[in-house]
Amino acid sequence: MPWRTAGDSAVTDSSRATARDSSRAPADSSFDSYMHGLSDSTDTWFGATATPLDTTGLDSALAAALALPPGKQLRRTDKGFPIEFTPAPGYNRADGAQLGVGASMSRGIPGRISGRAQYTTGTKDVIGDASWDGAFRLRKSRTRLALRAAVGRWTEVADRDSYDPVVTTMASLVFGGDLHQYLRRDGWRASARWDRDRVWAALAWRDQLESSLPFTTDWALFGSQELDTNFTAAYGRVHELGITGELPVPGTRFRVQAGHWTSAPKWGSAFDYNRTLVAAGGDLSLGKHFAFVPQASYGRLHGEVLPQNPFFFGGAPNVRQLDRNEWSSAGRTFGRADLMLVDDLHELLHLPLPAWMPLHVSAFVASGAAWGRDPVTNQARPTKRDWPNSSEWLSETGLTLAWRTGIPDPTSSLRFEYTEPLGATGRTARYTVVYQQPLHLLRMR
Amino acid sequence: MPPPALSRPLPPHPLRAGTALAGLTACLFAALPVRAQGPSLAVEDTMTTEVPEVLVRAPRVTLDEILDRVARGEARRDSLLKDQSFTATLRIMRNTAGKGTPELLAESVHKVYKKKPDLIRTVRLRVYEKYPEKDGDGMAEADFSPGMGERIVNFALQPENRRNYRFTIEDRKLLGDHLIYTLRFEPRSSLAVSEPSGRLWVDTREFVIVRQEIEFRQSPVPLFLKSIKRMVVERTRTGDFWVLSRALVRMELTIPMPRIGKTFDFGMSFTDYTINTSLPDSLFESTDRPDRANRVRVGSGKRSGS
Repeated sequence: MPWRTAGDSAVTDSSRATARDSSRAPADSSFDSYMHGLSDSTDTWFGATATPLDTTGLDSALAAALALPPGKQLRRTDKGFPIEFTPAPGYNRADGAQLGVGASMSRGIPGRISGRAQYTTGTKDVIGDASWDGAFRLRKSRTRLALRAAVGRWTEVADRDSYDPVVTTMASLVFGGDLHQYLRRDGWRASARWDRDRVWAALAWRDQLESSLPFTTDWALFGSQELDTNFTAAYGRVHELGITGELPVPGTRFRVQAGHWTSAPKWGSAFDYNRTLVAAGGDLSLGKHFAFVPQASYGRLHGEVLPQNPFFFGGAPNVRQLDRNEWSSAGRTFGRADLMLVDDLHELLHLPLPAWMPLHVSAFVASGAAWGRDPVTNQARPTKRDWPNSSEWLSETGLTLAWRTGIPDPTSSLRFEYTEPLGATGRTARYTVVYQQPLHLLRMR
Repeated sequence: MPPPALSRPLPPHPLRAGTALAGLTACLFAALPVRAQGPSLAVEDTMTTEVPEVLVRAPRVTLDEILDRVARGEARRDSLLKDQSFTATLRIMRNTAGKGTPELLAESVHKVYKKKPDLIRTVRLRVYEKYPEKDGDGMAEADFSPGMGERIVNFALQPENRRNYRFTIEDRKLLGDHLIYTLRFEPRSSLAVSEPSGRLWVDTREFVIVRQEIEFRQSPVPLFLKSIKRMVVERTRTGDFWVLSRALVRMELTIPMPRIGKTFDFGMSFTDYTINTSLPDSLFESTDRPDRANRVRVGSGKRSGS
């Protein structure tokens, strides 16, 4: 047959006999027998799971159910109390332990109403919120609109760019390793998020009274808190508009995220600032075994520099040679590139490791700078510069051994890193343990 | 025009007659059972025939063209579906590999009615659970969406996903008047080791996907899930349409879970289809239904229920 090439294969055995006499058989018979052959092999492989359904009694059950008006056949969970309760524990070094309960209801209403109330053992206060959220798919399009509104009293961190509540709480509880600064926010906030395919945009508004919190804890399971003070947040009611979004770079696997938050006295806000953050990153495949993962971010704060709105510098989110949030600044830029071996080390090297511990290695180089910073206190102060001086850059290189757990994201890993500073910084090499994803600078959601 | 050389009789030749006789004798000896020389060999006697060759000069369809046509074929299929009903069976089996006997853990059977644009009614016909819970959803409780696009079959060809996958033609088969392409797809990103890859079987008569096998290079959640050993999605033909007939997946956990064990299968089968039978709107009178994101969902869209 001249239309057959080397890539073509012969008809399978099961259909060959039929195909041989196609002039007499129906046109579909060889196709049908081929499909049945594939299906039969699936049956054999899956065994009992693939056995046909026992249809006994289904007709009468259907007739009985259809005799009822729609909506009268309820599930078990539709019959009980309409509100679901969950425990809401927490811990941070400002509030101490947070003991409380959460509740949610979604039956009979569009969207979901949820609430949470917690008693804080350190500040002896009650915090919590009530919120409504709903998601709607716009008809005849792949567009989704998600709305959320919440009112309440929250304890939040000053570093709004990178905060993982689970990891921070664990670190704080176990060895006191919580280097975040906390503040109180009372008021309400609302947001609308539009997304389609790989593009999304969100608009948010908040009206909150911001105030400082004391440091109340000195206990950890293995030691005491590393940081024994909490910063003093500027007091005032903030009215802030936030616009965030993400776009893919066409033809690549790179993404760009951008966010702009603005607060102005003309809106009744006590503070006047404009805060912008842009981040980009993606991955390039180098054969089947390596991935090159570059990422970068740039942040700039114009207007009032408050203790609770600067860019924090140091630690897991950027340069490893500084402690977490050791510096704060009105401008920050950071870039990092990882060369990752994507194969699981235990398969590659035949290591006697359990399957739940896939290990990956990578090497990285990183560089970043924080400007608009007091050189003595290393705290943020206003600046007119939009780019750092050459002397303000800190660079480093290192190796990572990552244990990929897949929680909450398939790429999430517990990373053990060795970092060597580059240049004459006077700093020494460091070992760090962080829990994050490879593209950790693209954090806006 | 047939080749003249084949129709002309060959002239007799003295050597040819002798060779034929010697060959016949050799065949006779070869056919005799000779115990001392081992087993006898059968001679292939399949009848063969010659057909005139046909030279096809048309250009072969490119991979991009196939992918475009499949995407259009799937969209066309979806656009032609107005309503449908089917019986859905969800089944969870444990002990499906290694030691132990496979055991049914949970099974539910539902009758599902769908009508465009977004009407759905789900009627529960039977539920079995080996360990029934007093509160909460059962293991095999199902929640369906009104969509009929069957994204579980064509997710790799969706506009938002297609650029994320690398496609190759793995095989072609001519079966009667069906040309079946087997396309392999895998994530373009080598970082995406836990994302699905697999094979699509495409019937080029209508450019629809008729079967899919999915595999995972590494587990998406290695802490709990050791591997997804195999996943198969099949379609069957009902009238003029190809519809989802079943999806089967076998998973192995890293640590045995209470009541589930270490390996389990999850199977969904869809039978008794009716398509475009003008289901009445009265069948779907809307009801208040909670949002149940934790349930198994098939397709996407807004829901109402029985």
